[in-house]
Amino acid sequence: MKVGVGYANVQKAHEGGREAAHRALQAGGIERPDLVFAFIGGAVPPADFLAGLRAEIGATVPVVGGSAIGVITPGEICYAGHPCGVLALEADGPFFRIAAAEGLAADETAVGERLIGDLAPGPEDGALLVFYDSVRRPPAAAEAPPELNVSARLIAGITAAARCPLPLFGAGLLADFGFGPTVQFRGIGVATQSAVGVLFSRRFSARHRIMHGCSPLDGVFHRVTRASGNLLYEIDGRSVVEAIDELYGNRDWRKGRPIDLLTIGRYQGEPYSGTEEDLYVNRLITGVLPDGRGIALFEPDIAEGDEIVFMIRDPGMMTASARSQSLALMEEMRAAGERPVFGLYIDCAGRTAFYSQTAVEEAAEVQQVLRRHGVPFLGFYSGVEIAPCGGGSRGLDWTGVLLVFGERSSDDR
Amino acid sequence: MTADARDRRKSPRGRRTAAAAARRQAAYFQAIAAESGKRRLREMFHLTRLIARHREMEQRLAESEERYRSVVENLAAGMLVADDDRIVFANRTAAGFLGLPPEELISDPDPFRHVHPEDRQALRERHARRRAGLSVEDPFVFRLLTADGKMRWLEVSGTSIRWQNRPATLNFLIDVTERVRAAEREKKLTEQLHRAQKMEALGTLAGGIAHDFNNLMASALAYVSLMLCESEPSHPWYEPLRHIERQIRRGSQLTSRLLAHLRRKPERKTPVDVNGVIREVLAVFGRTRKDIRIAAELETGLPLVLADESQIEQVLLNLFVNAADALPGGGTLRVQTRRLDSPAEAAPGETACCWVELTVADDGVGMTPEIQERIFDPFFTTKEFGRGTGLGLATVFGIVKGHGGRIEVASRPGQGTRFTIRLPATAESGAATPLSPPALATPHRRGRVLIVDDEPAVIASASRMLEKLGFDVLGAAGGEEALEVFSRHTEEIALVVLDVVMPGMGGETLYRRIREIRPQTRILVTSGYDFEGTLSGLLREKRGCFLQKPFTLEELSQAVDAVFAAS
Repeated sequence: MKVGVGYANVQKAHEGGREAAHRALQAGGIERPDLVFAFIGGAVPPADFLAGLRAEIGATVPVVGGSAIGVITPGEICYAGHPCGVLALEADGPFFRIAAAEGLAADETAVGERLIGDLAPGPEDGALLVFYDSVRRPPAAAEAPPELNVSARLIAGITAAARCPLPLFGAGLLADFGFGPTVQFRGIGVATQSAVGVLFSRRFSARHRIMHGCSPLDGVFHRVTRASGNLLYEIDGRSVVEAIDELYGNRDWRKGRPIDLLTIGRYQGEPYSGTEEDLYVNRLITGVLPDGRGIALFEPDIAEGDEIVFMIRDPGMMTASARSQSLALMEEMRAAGERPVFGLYIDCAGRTAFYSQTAVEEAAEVQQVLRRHGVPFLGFYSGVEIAPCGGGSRGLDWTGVLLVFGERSSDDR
Repeated sequence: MTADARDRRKSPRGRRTAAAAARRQAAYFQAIAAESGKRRLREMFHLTRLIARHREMEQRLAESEERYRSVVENLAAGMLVADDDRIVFANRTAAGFLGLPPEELISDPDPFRHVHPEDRQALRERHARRRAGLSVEDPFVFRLLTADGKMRWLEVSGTSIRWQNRPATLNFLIDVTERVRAAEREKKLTEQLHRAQKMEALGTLAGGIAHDFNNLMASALAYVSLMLCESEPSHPWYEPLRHIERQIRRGSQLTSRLLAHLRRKPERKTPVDVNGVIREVLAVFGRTRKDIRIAAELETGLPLVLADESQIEQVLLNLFVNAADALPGGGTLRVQTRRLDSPAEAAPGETACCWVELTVADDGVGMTPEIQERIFDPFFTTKEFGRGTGLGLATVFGIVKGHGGRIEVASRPGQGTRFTIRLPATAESGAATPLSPPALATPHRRGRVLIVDDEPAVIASASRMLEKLGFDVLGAAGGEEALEVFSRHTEEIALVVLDVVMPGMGGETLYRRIREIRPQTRILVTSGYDFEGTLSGLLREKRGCFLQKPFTLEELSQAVDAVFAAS
């Protein structure tokens, strides 16, 4: 397979699309790509970008991707200006199928069902990649949290309709830190409130690692005593907002959209069986409700009676995790006798140095490892990351999901 | 765990006590964990706020720097900071003056090498003085040698600053190349204007002298001419009279040269083959100067120029004589011609399709720039007293200008001199016309002639000559008197000989009035001035002839014949 990655950051979107595509084709020595992944910053007009991109790759090559807060390539990490990232693939013979479904704002589950219905996966198929619109409705006012599409429902629709278990990866797309509208590249056209899926054949292995970066704040479990959908009002019979006020010692944290440092963790293992990061699923707190009665979470999967722990973002752990997990993945592939072909890095926008107030980009760790191993890849900053975790695929917050496709090394064949 | 402790836990009371202790212990740990969690969160929160504030300041600083950088980099003026003898900062404009990227200029170990050698020391001294905090007069204009070998003129002004805790100079550079060139052009134009004004003034003076001189010569020549006419060649005074006539002629030629210097239009412009004239003049000149080698490279197919052939001869002779004088020990006189289709020197508005370039060069003693400055000035000569009049090159200059041409000189002491003349070519073709009209026979005339001149001596001498030709002569000392005489004898007067420049009613007015009274009247115009101005137009328009003073009996006779022939 031929793989090429290109990047551009110019004000004129047409030029950016053309430049990024040209570089990708040039880097991969690709004449006519079979599939193109493309992600663009929120300031890039998508139609102009696509027109420029298609000027290089042709009108019929499927393009999958969409909005991103930023783009990560082997040479660039950028979430300012007009970043555009393109990954082009060219292979002998078919290796993927594409489907798209719209109507997320109405029913995420139905969209998932339609998507998988169109893809009709079978035993010969491998990993499924899904990119969907995270933002159902942007914030109505500056102080109000946005209304988001729920990954859990979309995933439920997909997994329920799939006739066989599929490793599901993907992302909820964000265009900017203000939760503005997003677009999805759905093969040929552009859509909103949609999900686009790429089903890879088993010809390529798909191995992944989840990069964490949060640890329990104090290890104290709290029972959810009042919640509704993605809104959490009370824990342990008291206002969750007051409880967080007490933790911070002030009310300044309430200004955060999403909230700085603190997330809500759900323990996935046997009670008190360990403190490893894989045992927790983090939920981002997108903001405090305008009336101060509760907090909004990125996903509506925390219900009354659940036990939660407060998690704290740990920059050191985030960076160390990115490095160690990337290295572990490469080692895993080596041990399995697989040659990495290309990678996708789906990284939570909250992990950027800008947002995390860290001195270094954690994505640089991934970038460094993949570059050292000669793996071409495209990464982007997202709202929600989807990956198999704790027995099934689920939407994750504040993680980085590194997915690397590989093929058996010729020595082992 | 001790045996006692194990025993206590085995009993129900012991177990209750142990459970209570475990609960207390758990609560204790939980309280510690909660407290440390809060502290951790608050410290982290504080830290992130600090980092965020620091980031914001960095961002603001970066934006501020970007703003200043944008201003500095987009300045039309060059800006550079020099520390010791190195440039430590240069904006794009400053580097652009040299045609180098700023980083190359900054890494240059000797940036002064780009300065013109003649300005280098002064610039170094200014820089050193300014760095030392001493006063430096601003601005200073110097020459810069660019990467592509061109020269720019820059104006620098500056101030002393500290750069990274060291004394340095902040310099602002403005490209004044165009300004300097414009000033040079203006200076050149001013010089040309002064030269032209000087020439004009001298020309006017010379014209006046020539007029009076020619009037004086006119009567003298007239009498000599009459005496020769009356004398046999064997008469003892015949040869002295011929000598006087020749001397008067030479005096007259001197005034002609002065008049040529007036830059009046040549009288007899015809299509002239410059190569042909050169060959003729070289043939004569070569016989007189056998000590010098003459090399002629004359381009074939040269276009004709509309010129007074005799004046072109005069130009050539003057240049050849000057060249020969510059070769006292022998040498080479080189004459070249070529066609120029579009000489860069052609002034705006020139309409000539092409030009003829004539070069006269010698490898003789050459001239200093000071002498070159003055060689076209009238009466300027470097020759010993009595050998040169100082009018040769002034005349050449006047003739060339009068032909709408250009003349340049290039010379260096010890390396020779080269004169380059460019004359506009004419589209007219045909053989050159002869220099002089064939002499007319002098038929015996009868009739009354009115001669008008403000010089009584001229009237007297001219009357004698006209009487000699058979005419009955009436004289008038001015325009008014002449008009009165003409009115009284209108039908009797066969010819009016009138002077152009007279006090009171001038020749031109008189000419018109006579024509008004009797249009068919024959008029012969004479003048000590050259033949120029509106009168020439009248003569062309009506019937009339001109005779330059002084004139001999024969010349007068021919002119009279011409007037009668024209009528």
